[in-house]
Order: sequence, then C-alpha cells, then structure tokens
Amino acid sequence: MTAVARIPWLLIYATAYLIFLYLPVLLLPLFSFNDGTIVAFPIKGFTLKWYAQLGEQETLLNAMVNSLIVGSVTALAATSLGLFAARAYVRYRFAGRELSEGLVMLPLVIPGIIVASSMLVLFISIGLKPSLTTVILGHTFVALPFAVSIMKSAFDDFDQSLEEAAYDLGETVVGTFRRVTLPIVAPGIVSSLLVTFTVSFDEFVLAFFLSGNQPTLPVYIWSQIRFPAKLPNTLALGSLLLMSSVILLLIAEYFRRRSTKSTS
Amino acid sequence: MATILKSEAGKGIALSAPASLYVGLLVAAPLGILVAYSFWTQTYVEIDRTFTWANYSEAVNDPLVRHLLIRSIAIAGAVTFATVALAYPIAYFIAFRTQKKALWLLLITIPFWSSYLLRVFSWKLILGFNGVMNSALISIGVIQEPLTFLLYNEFAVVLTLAHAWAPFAILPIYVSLQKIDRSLLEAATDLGCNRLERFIRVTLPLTVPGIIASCLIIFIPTVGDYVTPALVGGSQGKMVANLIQVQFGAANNWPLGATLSLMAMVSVGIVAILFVLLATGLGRRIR
Amino acid sequence: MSDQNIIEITGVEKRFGSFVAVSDLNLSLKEGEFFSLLGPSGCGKTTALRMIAGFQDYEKGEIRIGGQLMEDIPANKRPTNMVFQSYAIFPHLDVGDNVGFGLRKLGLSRKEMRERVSEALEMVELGGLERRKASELSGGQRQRVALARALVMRPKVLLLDEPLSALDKKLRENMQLEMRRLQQKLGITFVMVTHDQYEAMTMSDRIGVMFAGQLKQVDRPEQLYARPCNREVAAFIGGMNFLNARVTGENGDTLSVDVDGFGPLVVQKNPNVLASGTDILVGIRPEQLEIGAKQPDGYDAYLQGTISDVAFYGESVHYYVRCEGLDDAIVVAVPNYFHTVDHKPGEPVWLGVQNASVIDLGAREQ
Repeated sequence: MTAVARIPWLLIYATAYLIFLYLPVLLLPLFSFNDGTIVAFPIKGFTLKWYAQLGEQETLLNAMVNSLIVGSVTALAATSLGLFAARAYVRYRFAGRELSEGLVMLPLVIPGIIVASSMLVLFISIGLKPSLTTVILGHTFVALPFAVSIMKSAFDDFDQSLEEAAYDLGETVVGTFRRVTLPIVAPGIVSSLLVTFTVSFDEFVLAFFLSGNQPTLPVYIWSQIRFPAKLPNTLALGSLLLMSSVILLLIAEYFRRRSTKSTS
Repeated sequence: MATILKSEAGKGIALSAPASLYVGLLVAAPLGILVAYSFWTQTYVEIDRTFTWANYSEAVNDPLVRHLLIRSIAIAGAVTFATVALAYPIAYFIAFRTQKKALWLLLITIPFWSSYLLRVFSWKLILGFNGVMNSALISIGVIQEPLTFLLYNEFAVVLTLAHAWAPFAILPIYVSLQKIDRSLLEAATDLGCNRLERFIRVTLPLTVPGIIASCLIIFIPTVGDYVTPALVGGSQGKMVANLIQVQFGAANNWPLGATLSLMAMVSVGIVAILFVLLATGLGRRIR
Repeated sequence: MSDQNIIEITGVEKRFGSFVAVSDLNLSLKEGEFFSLLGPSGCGKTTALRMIAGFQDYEKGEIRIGGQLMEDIPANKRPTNMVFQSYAIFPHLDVGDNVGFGLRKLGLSRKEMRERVSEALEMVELGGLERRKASELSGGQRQRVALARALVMRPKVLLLDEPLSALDKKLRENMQLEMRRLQQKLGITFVMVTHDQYEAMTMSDRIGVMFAGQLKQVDRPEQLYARPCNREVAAFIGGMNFLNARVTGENGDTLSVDVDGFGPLVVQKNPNVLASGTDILVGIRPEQLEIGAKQPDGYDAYLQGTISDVAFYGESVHYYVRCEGLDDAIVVAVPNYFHTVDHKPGEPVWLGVQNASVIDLGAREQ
C-alpha cells in the first residue's frame, strides 16, 4: 500500500448525487412553512397558516376520502391477487409459469398514457362510467407487479418442508396455510399492502383519465397547480402527502426486512 | 376439477390464474378496443364505426405528430442515457466502495417513495424564472439576471426525468455489480490488467445485462410520459403523450387518440428491440 | 423388536418423466426395528421415504402400514411422523409450540398437552426449554426439537430424512448413539435415510442399500459388511480390494478358487450374490490382510509387492502395495498399535491372507 491518500472521488460524487436526489423532496416542505406566496429565496418567515387552511377546503377533503377508498381497495385486491400468484410461482412448477410471471410484470413497462387511454376507451365501451370503481380497476393493474414481487420474495426463502412438517403432524391443507404459511409470510403481506396503497395513493395519470368527477388527491393537486394564488396551500398539501408516503413505505420496508429475516 | 387441483401443475395454474387473467384481460381487451377505435371516426360525440385508414393517414401526414414522436423518442433516449450514466458510478460506489450498502440503498430509494407528480412539481418550482434556483443564485451573487434556459424546454424534461428514474437505473446495475465474483477482478489484476483495463474488460461487460434492463425500464415508460412534459416542458418540451391526452380531452377525438397511442407503442417497441439487439451485440464485442 | 411387520411395501414404482426414481421396491419392516435406507444421492432413498410419509405418489404397487393400505390416506392422517432434513422448525413459534403443534389436532386438554410436550422435551434432553425461541436454537437443539415434535405424536413409524447431515462430526457421533438408545427405549420403528455408511451401521438393526432406484440388498450391518451381494454394495460399505478369481472346484458350502496374485484359496459361498459362475470376483477387506517385511507365518496364501504410497489416518495406517500382474494397488490397513509407521514407499513387502477373509462376490460380469 502506498502512503498517498487517494481522493475519494466516488464518495464526493455520491454525496453530490444524494443532494440532487433530495433537493426536490426537501424543498416542498421547506417552502410550505414560508410566510410568502412566492417560492423563492430569501425565505420570509415561519408560518403554519398554509396547513391550517387545508382543513377548510371541502373539495380537498372529498378528494382525500376518495384517495383513501381507492388506495385501500386497491391494496387489498392487488395483495390478494399477488399473494396467490406469488405462491404459485415460488412453490409449483407448471406449464406457462414463466409466461404468467412475465405477464403480471407487464404493467410496470407499459407507458402510463397508453394504459390510461386504452382503459378509458375499454370502460366506456362496456358501459362503465369513469368513477372510483374504474380508478380502482386501473390501480389494481399497476399495483399488481409490486404486490407480486414483494410476495415472491416473502415466499422465496420459505422452506417447503415447514408446510410438509405441519401436514405430517396432522394439520389439514387449510390449517397448514393458516397456522404456518400465513404467520410466516405475514410481514410480507403487510409490506405489500402498504406499498400498493402508496402506489395507488400517489398515482396520477390513470386517475386523471379514469376518475370522472370523483377526483383523487393527485388529480385535485393537478387542478390546483394552475392557480398561483393556491400555491402555498398546494405546497402544504404536497408536503403532507410526501411525508405520509415516506413514512408508510419506511414501515413497509421494516416489515419486508422482517419477513425475509424470519424465513431464512 | 378436483383431480386437476390435486396435481402440482393444476394448483400452480389455479393460484396464478386470477392475477394473470386480470392483467391479461386488462392488456388485451383495451388494446383490442384501441385498435378498433383507431379504424373508426368521431364527430362530436357520435362514433362512426365504418372501417377507415383516415386516422392513420392523418397521423402519418401530420408533421406535428411525426415531430412529437421523434422528439419523444429522442428525449426518452437522452433521459435513458443521462440516467444510466449518472447512476452507474453510484451503483459502483455502493457495490465496491462502501461497507454501508443497505444504508446507501435505503438513502437512494427514500426520495422515490413520494408522489411522482409532486416531485415534478417541485422541479418546476426549482427551475422557474422566479424560482428557487434563480433566486438562490442571485442572492449569493453568482448571477444578476435570472437564467431562462432552466425551465420549459427539453433540458428541464431530461433533468426532471433523470431524477425521477434514478433508482430504476441504480438498482439493476447495483445488482449486476454485486453479483460479480470478486475473485474474477483479482484474476484480472493477477493477469496484468490495471484498474481501468480491469473495469473495461471485466466489470463493464459483466454488467451489460443490468444496463440493458435499466435502459428498458427507463426508456419505455418515458416515451409515454405525460406529467413531466406538461409541467416543465413548455412548448419546446411537449411530447406525444400530451397530444394523446388532448385527443381524449379537449379535442375529443378518441379515434385519433387511439391511433396515436398505438403508433407510440409500436415505435417504442421497435426502438427497444433494436436497442437490445445493438447492446447485446456491443456487449459481446468488448473482450 | 417383534416379528410383526409394521410396514409392507410391494412392487412400488415411481417415475419422474422417463427417469425411474424407484423401481419395483419390495420391503417389509418389523415392529420396533431401526431400519436405514443407505445409498448415494439420487438413488431414490428419499423418494421411498416420502412415499411412506405420504408426500410422494407412486404409479405401481402398494404400501401398507400396520396392515392398512395407505393409498387413499393423506400424509396428515398417516400413523407416521417425520424428522426433516432441514428440521423444518417453525420460525414463528417457540420450542414448546413447535413440539405441541400436532397435539392441537388430537383434542387434548391444555394440561395433557403441556405434560406431553414437557415429557417429549425431557426425552430429547431439552427439558424446560419450552419458551426458547426457534431462532435461538443451535443446530443440535433444532435436531432435538424436530425429534421431539415428531415423537410427541406417538407415531407407529418415525421417518428420518438425513437427520444428522446438518450437524458437525462430533455432535453427529453423539447423536447417533443417543438416537439409537431412544429408539430402543421407545420401541418405535425408525426408518432413516442416509448416505453415510458408518451412520447406518452404528444405528441400524437392518440396512437396505439402494442404487439407481433399486434396492440391492437388505441385511444386518455385520452381514452387509461380511457378505455384500455385489461389487457395488461392497465398494459403498467400507474399503475393499477386488480381485478376479476362477472357480476350480465346489464342495458343499465352499468354493475352491484361483485368485489373481494370491493363487489357490478356499472361500465360503456367499448366499447373497445375485449370479455365480466360473469367472468370479472376490473381495478382501484392507484390515484383514497381514503385511510384513518378511513372509508372515500362518496364512493360507501370500503375495509379494512394493509399497507405493503410505497414508496415515491416525487410528490406522494404509499401505498401498503394487504387485506384479495386478492392475490396482492392494490396500492394507494396519491399526496404529505403537505410534509407528513400519514401512516406507519403495520397500518390498509380503502380504498374507486367510481363507475366511476372502469374500465371494459372484459372477464378474453383472
């Protein structure tokens, strides 16, 4: 080893890159407390009034309720579908398995605008008016790949002889699932529920096309972005959403790690 | 049915069927109807179901459509390149130069657990004429007049999307770097390679699959991105998705919108396939 | 051990596609015996065990346990319990709940359940560890929990799939003796799958040796060692020198043979051989050969050669002796009596053998 200390270029670069990554995420909360209507330096002063005003807006609260409904139903639907599919992929060998695995990942790579426009056309054609139902159908579609991959990793290290052992000890198939499989993959399920909820909660383009006159929160925010006077409120709302997403997903990550730890 | 469910294969098919049917149906049915619409025409709210190539000839002959398609693909290409080029050193750093891999991976993914719409919106505020960047630079005296090239152009779109897609580039490349057997690198050194040669002849070729994966994950959805060009693109930065949205919205011409969607999809497909062929070919050339 | 058969397997066959995993398996196991299925990996022994447990279906034949046909009885209703190779300790349950897992289905009172769990844990010397977490167990403890969890069900047959392969050597040897003692105390039939010949021999009443899906020989350990049925089995169990021989005469239970190198010898006919003839193969165990710098006294045949290699094993020394006219070196194992290695490579030596040490392995081509 030479005694010359090398400049850690990569570390410097990585730090700069992190700043780039966090810049937009931290700016929204920063300016949401700014006592001024223009988002620019210098910062004028600290205020909470933009947050306080949020509670008075009825359309916002409606949109919030819509988003919560859509997110919850989507999370349940996508996680159930993903749970069974992931179990099939990890546990069984069957014709068409790889095809099916590829198919459920497809929603990740189809451009959002195409999913949105084609679903709109489909739903109208079969007489389904744009509503929260159509948004839920669309969100379940885009959230499914997340549910499947989380559940797959939860099942991946799951020792198959655990189920055989339960069955060998006299449990039924259903009892084995309830007493052994479910408790062991439970953290994975929680993680999947939280992630798919967040995917739906944050999704904009599909909801924009499919929500009709029942806007979700992102659609509501989109409608507010155009009005400079509403900017501080939008910032406050955006900061709240940003924080709740990050917190939810940190919890999901905690459960995901717990699930892989307990099975290995 | 009972006997089918007893077999391993039967159980697998039965369990995975709901998910694959759901996705299959929601891919096939909308696409089928989209194809049908592209051969129909619309006057106000009435759909005329007689077969016609009119939408396609209109789209192909309209210089705006051609221009937007080419621009979308060019911007998506630039975004893909910028994202991967910026992300590779980070992936390399996490894989080889730090002990705190889990922490760094977490740090890098956290910003992306927030709404995409809000992040784009935030960039709009950062890059604006009276925005964060300009006001900050002016207040510390670097510039006197606000910079105008920051917002409402292709640069803003590429920057915003390179930010938006960062983890999709970092993670696949990190995985392919992490998988490299460390003794391969030692073997290369042992056989006389210096650090640069070792990187070019061993590390880089072994990460080609990861690079291709991240390129596709980024390129395909970017061509059809709507939010970023709408918020930070201005008129210079508009992309094909914005035109499609107009057809389904203000212009109320669904058949033309369907045609444009299909054309965008086909173009993406062709470019993606060409890219994969080219990249795998190039990957083999480096020895 | 009684004379009653607890398991009867007749004509069972299992194919995976065109691969025959188990072919025409016929086997009767007695109540209370410790039986091992021994063979190299992929020989079908685990498949056979899983068929008994009910985890593996089969195309042909039948399996009876306690006289009852098992065909339509699923694994959770069979009077068998299994110790899995990975032990399959439920990670979300503590030791007590793991052991009590199957008791829940028996409709016992809480008190009875607790008693049976603690009794089972005492049995495997883990008494009082009910509330220990699964993740806090050592490898040996996991093995004991798996054993207790299966035994607490009081099965007619306990099935063990490579139960000791995950343990290190020292622990494995202790557990071999301990499991043998436990089995004798409980009088339950144990069926163990293993690829380790020593493990099979130290623990079992009888051993079945499997190769490529076929059960080649079922015998007591000492018989298996003394009278293997062919070259394959002889080579798998212990070391063996193989020599070609020609039969020159037959007299009741004995054969007069002319053995390559050693010359004329008289050997016991081996009732286990699958086919006999005039050109036969004989085997001599390395530890049953005498070696010396001079010709040793009192042997039935002799051979001269040169030491080519010496391998020191601690408890014994193996000499490899090259002899004129023989393709393979003869291996001689000498117990390490006095901490000395008596011969060096290149030394000329005499080998001596007695008639009783030569094993008839049947016709050469089989």
